[in-house]
Amino acid sequence: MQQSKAAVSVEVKQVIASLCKMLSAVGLEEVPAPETFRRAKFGAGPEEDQFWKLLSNILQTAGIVSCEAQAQFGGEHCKLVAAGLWQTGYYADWMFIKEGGGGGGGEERRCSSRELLLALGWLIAEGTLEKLVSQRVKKLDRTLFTPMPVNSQFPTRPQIDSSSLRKLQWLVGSLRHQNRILLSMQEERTHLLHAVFLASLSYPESSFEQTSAVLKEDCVCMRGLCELLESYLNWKQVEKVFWTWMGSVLDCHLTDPVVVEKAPHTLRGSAKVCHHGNRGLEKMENMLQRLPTRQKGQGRYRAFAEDRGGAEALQAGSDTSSLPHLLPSLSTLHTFPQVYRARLQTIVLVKHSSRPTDGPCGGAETTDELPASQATQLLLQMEALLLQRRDTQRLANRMQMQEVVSRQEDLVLIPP
Amino acid sequence: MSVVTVQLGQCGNQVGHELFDVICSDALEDQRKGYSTASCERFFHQTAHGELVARAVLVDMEPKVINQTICRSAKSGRWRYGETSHFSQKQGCGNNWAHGFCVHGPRHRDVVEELVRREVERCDRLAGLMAMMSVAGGTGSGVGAYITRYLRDVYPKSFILNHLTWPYGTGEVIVQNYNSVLTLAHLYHHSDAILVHENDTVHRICSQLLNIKHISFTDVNRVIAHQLGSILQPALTTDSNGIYSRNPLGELVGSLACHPEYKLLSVSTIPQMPSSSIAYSTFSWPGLLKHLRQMLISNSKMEECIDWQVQLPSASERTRTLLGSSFNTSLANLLILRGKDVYSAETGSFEDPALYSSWLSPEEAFNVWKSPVIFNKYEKSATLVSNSKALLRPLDNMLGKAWNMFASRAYIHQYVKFGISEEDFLDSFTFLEQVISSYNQL
Amino acid sequence: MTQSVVVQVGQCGNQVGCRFWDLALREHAHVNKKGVYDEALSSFFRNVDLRRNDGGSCGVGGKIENLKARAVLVDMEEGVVNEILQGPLREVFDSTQFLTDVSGSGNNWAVGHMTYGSAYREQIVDKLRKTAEHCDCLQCFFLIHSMGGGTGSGLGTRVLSMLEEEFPEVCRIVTSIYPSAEDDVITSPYNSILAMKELTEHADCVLPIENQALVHIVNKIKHMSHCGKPGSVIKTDTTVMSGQGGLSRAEKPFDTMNNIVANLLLNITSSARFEGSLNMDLNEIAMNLVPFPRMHYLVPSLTPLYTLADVSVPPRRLDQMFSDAFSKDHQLIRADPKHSLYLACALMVRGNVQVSDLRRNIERLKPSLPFVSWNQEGWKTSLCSVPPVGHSHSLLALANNTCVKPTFIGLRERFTKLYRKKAHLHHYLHVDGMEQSYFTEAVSCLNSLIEEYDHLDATKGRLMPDAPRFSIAR
Repeated sequence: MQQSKAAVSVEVKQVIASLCKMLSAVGLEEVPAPETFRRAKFGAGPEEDQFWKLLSNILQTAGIVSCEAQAQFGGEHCKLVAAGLWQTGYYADWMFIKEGGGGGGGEERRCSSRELLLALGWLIAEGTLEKLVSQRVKKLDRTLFTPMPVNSQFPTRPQIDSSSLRKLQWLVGSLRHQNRILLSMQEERTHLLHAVFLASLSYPESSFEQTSAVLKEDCVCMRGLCELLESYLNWKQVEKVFWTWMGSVLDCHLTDPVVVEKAPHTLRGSAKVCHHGNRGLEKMENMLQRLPTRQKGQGRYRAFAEDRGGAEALQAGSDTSSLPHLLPSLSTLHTFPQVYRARLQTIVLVKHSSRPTDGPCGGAETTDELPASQATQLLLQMEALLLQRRDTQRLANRMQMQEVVSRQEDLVLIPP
Repeated sequence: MSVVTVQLGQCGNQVGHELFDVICSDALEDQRKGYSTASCERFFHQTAHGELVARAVLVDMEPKVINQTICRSAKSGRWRYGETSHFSQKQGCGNNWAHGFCVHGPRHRDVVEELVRREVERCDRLAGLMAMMSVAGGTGSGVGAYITRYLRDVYPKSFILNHLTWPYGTGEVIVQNYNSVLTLAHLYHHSDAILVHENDTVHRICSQLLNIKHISFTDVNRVIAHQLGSILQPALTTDSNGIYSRNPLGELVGSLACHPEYKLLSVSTIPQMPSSSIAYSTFSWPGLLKHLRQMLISNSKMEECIDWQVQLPSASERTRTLLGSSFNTSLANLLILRGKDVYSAETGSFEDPALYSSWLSPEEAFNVWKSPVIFNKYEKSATLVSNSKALLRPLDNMLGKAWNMFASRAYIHQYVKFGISEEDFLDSFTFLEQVISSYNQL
Repeated sequence: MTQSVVVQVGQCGNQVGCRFWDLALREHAHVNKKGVYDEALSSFFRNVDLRRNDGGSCGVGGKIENLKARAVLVDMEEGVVNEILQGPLREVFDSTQFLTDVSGSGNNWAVGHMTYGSAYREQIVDKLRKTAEHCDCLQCFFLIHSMGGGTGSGLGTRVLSMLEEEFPEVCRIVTSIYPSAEDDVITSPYNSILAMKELTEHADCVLPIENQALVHIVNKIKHMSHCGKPGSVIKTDTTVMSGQGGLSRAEKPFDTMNNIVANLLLNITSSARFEGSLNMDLNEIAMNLVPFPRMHYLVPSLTPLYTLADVSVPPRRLDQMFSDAFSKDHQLIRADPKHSLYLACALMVRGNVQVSDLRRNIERLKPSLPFVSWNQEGWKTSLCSVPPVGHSHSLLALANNTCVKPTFIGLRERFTKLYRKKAHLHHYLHVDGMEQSYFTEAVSCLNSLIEEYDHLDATKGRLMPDAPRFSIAR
């Protein structure tokens, strides 16, 4: 047990290191050391500052916070981060502890580095990392072709008469051909990249110096690109572990809150905080309205918000951005009448034994909590169910389409 | 970006050889490096000694033609075929499509696939495959249809263009209409586009435009190769920003054959004249394009036979379907201009919506490629590749004759012997009737 | 390059075959001056180096050592075969290619087909296999036999079914010599009808040749040569007229007639042997000319049959050659194809003839030739650049035409006359394995064949509407 635990911690260390490498390859400055992350899990310490910086860096580089906003907030990380997280739809208590605190940003705003770590987890789960990578690739890879502008003007309600059907078929064919052209271009690029890479390996450093500066620059770019892609690949392979660890951070946070000062606000109450035209809020509110009434009655908004964090931890490898849309629809399924909160079993148990809490998220016995493994199971089942429903829907659509086509188009008569 | 050519049967091998010859001499003649480099990369690879070797695979079921073709290319001194990129057997398919498709095709597909794969691997990037064959005989059409299907499985993402030579109306092979029906129906499923040359039309070009007295098959094939070359040589597309189009097959298919029911392409080229007269002739772009446009709408493949009476239908006529009308509606056109002052050429007359079907606008249906390089000694030349009703009549004739024969069940036993049943025939007939009906609706 | 094997059965088959080998050697000697064993030679001959013990053949490209015919000779008497063995052609065969008996078949189909067929089955198959093994790519068997006698019709058709059994992939082209109405063999109608059933069922193509038609042609040639008109002296060194220049010197009574048949075989294979601008493989013959499996009787006609000694012939002669091929006088059976119905027609041209000549003549002749409604363009053509010896060009037309029907009807009449009286029937029924049902089946097979031709003939001259096409509903 001890051994395996040690192995796990070593692994976690490596994973976080690869994340750090990834983050710096993406072009972020002042990435905290892996050890900082690990310490942040337990809340205290001077790491906070580094995380504020990291978060604001990410938000800025990913373009979540615009330049104007940056100017508006000045050099103040905290506000910027809070606003940026709002944009992505993240919510946490610390963001609303004191509103309108313009100048100072002093002790009142202080929150634990663990919470910031959670926020970072949210950002990664939202796909910010991929956004950063693709931005960086675009910057580094000069051979990348700009995508062709495709004229996508469709009538809002397509009419199914034979000529628009034909036009549609033509357009679909055209897209398919374009796709193939692009694919072959990509193939060629890979070939070329490979060739360049091989060439750079076989040439001694000195010969590089003789070649032109442009080439050198290109070479640097290419190396950066290779590094970036390599680190992303590494990260993708070990990402799962990171999410497990993140889950443990979350649990740690829930069971052992560092800063629990006030009762949770309702969202409506805190909505004042946000800046005008917040998309995230809209999205959130939409979601809330679609929540089953039963849960609404229990007033578990906070729980829901946390649910999202937990579920994301579980969904680590898959497309996380679609999850918020998925959840409400999940809850409407008959087979799954209630939204459950997932927990990671092993670590939770350890935590529980050490320190039971009376917080709003209570013990593991509550009916709306599920062990993580079971939740995974349920989610997988759900996914399969949804996929199945999608397929049947597609099939039905196709049948209908074919029916229409055959009515529209032509029947074949067998000869006399 | 490169094209791998698969030459099948006697006709495919002969036409393919002429094509490489035209392309090679055109690429080497011009001094513009970019053009000849692009052209050579497209169709040839270079050996360590700098020899040009065609990116081609030669397939036939008898050895005579392949031996002859390889010999002739080696004699040219400018280019040659790969030493090992050919495959032949001892005995032909005896004009029997089923023998080619059901026996020879499956039996030799692995060898052919291996040859094709070797050529593909030699390419830095594969633009696509081009299979050349006739539809009349047994080897080109039967083995060709099978190999096309197989290559489609092996290269699902590559473009596959089929070049077909349609036989003379009479006298070559008695079962040519059956073979044609089976070939076309099978290719339609697997090919991206089918480019057709009719022997009768090309024969007339030889006799009337080129003034050839005793027309041999070589003359006919040379005309086909000239037209094909003017399509496939490097050219600039509208949005290529001065770089030669990278994927000729993809661009060709993408601009002409996006709809699964419409895949038949015909070609007309202007001007065509005896080589001795070229030096004494001058051309103007407006004149050439005016003629070419009338050739398109009156569906004549030759400058000499243009019917100037045919005009675009007025708006009121469009609403009625005029089957008897001699106006040739296009689905899509691709205009390729090569030669002097090419950028001054005004192609607006091809963008008239009345030229096209009601459901596709000229912006989607019309494309131009240009190249300032003089092609094959013509100071200016224009080629129009058209997906139009032009092939409707020959297709309908061919299908009618085959159907008449099928109604008496004549020759069917020859096909059944090798595994093509009456149902297979019926499937092919129905499918082609469907194609004809689609084109009729344009 | 592919190879063919000639199987000659019976007295008539061997005599014709003998002429064929003689002329084939002569033709190749004429074309192949270098003495190199080439692809063309390999199609009918093996090149054997006798110094090698294994008896294996040499590859193409070497010097000609000893040419051996790709042939199997079968006869149930020794006369003809012995003659060959003592004659000038003995070099071309070796003893393993022969199969003979002493007693003959007594003009009895049943004896040839049943008795000898069963007794010699193993030996015949063995010889066929051996010959086939010498081939690189065996494409075709040419069977030569007569319909009237016992061995040719009985054992010949038995060999045909052996070929089908043993070599199902290999094309079987049968040259059958049909007896005259005044044939001296009384039982020839029986033999012919029984053989017809076998031919209809087991052959890919049958080239029917009538003795009477051959006699007629030979008489006409003789008449031409004796009429003494200036400028119409017949050249004697052409392949049709004589074997002069060939290996055998002595002229025998049937030689001229047999020469015509041998020429037919030479011409039919010329396009496969020699080069030309439009080749025609042997397997293309059946593919193009046989629309229905049983209707594989192809009427041959040869032109020109003789060349006038006068060289200053008008250039019109080429077009005349095409016209002649469709005239009654040049058919190798007594029939008039122009007044019957064509199902399909092949023109195999040799010599210096261009595609344009071919197209012009087809266009010229087409209006006068009735073709079946669904095959109005039923022409298959080939051009071989090597002309036959002594001619500048020649034409072999193979017509799948309903004009064969009268020949079959004549046969049936003679058969019925005999069969009604049960004449000589006991000679057949004594033979082991022979039953009367063979007769009834054979005659009903012929009846249905004639009916099929009748059926097609009925469509002649009527304007046949196009078959209604599929309509695509919208």
